Amino acid sequence: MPKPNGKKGGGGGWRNQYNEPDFRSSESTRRVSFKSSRGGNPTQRDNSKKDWANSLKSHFEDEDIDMGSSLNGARYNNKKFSKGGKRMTRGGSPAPARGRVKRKLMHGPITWYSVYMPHGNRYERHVIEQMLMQHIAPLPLIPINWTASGTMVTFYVDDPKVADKLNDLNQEIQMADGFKLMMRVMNRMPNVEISLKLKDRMKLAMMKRYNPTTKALDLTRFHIDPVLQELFCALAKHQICRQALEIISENIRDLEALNLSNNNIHMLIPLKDMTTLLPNLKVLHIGHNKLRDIAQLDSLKGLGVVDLLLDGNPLCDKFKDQTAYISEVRKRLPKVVKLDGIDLPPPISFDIEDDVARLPPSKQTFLCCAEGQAIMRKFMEQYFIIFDSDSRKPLLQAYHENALLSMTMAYPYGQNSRNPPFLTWYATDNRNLQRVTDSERRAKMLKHGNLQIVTFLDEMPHTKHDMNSFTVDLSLFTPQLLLVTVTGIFKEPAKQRPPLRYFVRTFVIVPSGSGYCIVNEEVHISNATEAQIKEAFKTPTVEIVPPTPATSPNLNTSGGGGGPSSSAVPVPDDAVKQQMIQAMQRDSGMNPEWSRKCLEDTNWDYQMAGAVFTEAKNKGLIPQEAFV
Amino acid sequence: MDPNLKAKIDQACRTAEEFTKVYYESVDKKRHLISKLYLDTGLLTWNGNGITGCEPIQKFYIELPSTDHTVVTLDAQPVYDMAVNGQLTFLIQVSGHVKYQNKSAKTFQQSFVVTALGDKWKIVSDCFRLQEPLSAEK
Repeated sequence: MPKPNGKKGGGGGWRNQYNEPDFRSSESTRRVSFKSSRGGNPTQRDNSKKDWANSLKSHFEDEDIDMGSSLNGARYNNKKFSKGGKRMTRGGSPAPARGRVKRKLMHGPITWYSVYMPHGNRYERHVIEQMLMQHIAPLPLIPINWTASGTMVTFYVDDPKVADKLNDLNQEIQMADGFKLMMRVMNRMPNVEISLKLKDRMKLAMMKRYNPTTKALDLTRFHIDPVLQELFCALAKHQICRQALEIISENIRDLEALNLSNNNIHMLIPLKDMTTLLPNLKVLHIGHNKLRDIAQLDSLKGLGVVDLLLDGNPLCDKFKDQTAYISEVRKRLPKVVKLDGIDLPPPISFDIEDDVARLPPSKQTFLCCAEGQAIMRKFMEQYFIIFDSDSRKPLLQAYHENALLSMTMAYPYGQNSRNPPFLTWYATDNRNLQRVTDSERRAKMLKHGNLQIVTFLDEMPHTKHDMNSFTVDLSLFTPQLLLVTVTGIFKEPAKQRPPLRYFVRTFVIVPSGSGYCIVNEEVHISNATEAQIKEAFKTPTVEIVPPTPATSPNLNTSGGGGGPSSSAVPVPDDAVKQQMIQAMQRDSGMNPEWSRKCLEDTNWDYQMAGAVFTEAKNKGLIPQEAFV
Repeated sequence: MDPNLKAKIDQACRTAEEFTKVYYESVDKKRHLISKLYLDTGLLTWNGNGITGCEPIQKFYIELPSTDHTVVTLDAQPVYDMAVNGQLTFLIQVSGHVKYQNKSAKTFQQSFVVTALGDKWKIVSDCFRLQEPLSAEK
């Protein structure tokens, strides 16, 4: 308590808490005050340093007692005291004109005010509000974070004029029952914890205030938003401002215009990462806040803002010269061409600096060779239909017997393993060479052979891919191989809140028999970004007919002439393969090794292998040793 | 596992580590030398835009805004012998984030096919994608 405050004239009811002699209370022990700050004895000085809560409490206790005599009226009590005479000498303060000393409201850089109303909760809220409104008119009353605890009512106001007025109204408003409303106004903000509820409300308020057409978000006097008014959501509070920025960055990353006017903001430090969090921001209005120094703009350095509004901040009055003002702004934000609504002459810069990071526009598909398109599309369609089905085992045919597959996973920029959706399942097999440095482990984590690969793929969470989200790059297309990179979005529908993932898969595909099969694959799994989530599964995919037994990724590309058997090969697991080798031995007369080779070369297509064998034998291409 | 294959896997991993260091260093800081890393007939696929040949690739990089790449994951494996006529060839896949002109970072994934040409590794194919929804890419 810095000052002898609350010396209400009506000392009639002051509680005598301290009995030690007071220099002003020789006659009337009732005038002992513990709030004295000058000239008092050391005890009193210590008392004056009591913490807020205590002094506040005591203060209300004073009021409590005062209230008891309130019907007599302060003036009357005061008269009585005037006779006592002594108190008039106190601290050299002028004698109160009306016999009542008003508590003066102190104003700091933060223009938020708490209003405490002891016994306020004895009345209906609307009754009090109405009373206050009548008395402060024409000023408007917008109480923020109205809370009642016991008989006490607390709320906050954001306007110094309103605060002053309310402060003056202490014990000026008589209620129907004769009680005079007490009001303690202080220049302060409450402590706030960012709760889930607060976050949700902030999002809700932002949704209403966002204009998607102009990509503009209007947070003018954010705290008076009806969904926020019952909470304390002042952007002047650093952690709230910071939270707001994070919400915007997560949900409207491409925001171009932001209005933060009339929020009592006195520091811009919470906005210091704006350059990264809102990379496209072009318009920033922070007018009618409490920024006192142009150096506050240092926190916004690097921001590509072209339209800035600062008008209505104390800092603007410090400049006598408009050119100095513009120059100080441009020193920090060189791209500004419109300041406080006025067009500035465009800045002259050096040609060498690229104005904007212009990236070439993206394309969904790249085909190094047009004729590859049909093959690619069919292969991918079939592959992902099976991949999304209940069993991925039929993919055995899509992989070469000696195929290699590896997987890496990482959270996209801005997400991490501490927040859902988690990528835990994929962490076990994450063959990130940055982390896995042991060469044994590097080899071991590589899935080798179609059986191991498909077993692994089959264990992966059940998926549903959004085919419309796919990008396909066919980089190589030669008679020997195809190199394809596919990216896209899938969800894991079996999970409770199906997470959306992003994948990148690079395939090396070789012709095999009459079809194709994968010899190398690298899979990368990540979470979808906020922007991707928004676009995912937007277009309903046409229900693709489930694959018939005749469809297999090992597709037939030789115009139907590649033998009807090529697509009807049973899933060759090891036992089946063994049987096939034995049959081949019996039918061809070749030894097991050569029989196996022949089947491998035709991707375990038995009829095909037979045809190849016959042809090769007729041409005399099979060495004698094969029959030994 | 076949010791031959195992040696190749090991080599693929070590080459990939070295390669990514050289590659991103060149893209970020020594762009004028980038085309040296590609085969004469090398292909760069950048977000669906195909650029073939050293010279056009060099030109593309010179025009691209300045970059700062951070590699987060790296993966590599030897490409199946039969597909590449026994020529030592590796498939490399990278993920990470990239800043364009110090603007905010974007997540990217990139896959390479590199092959041994004499005593030098050369890029046959380089396929780059930013992790962005398609509509935002328009």
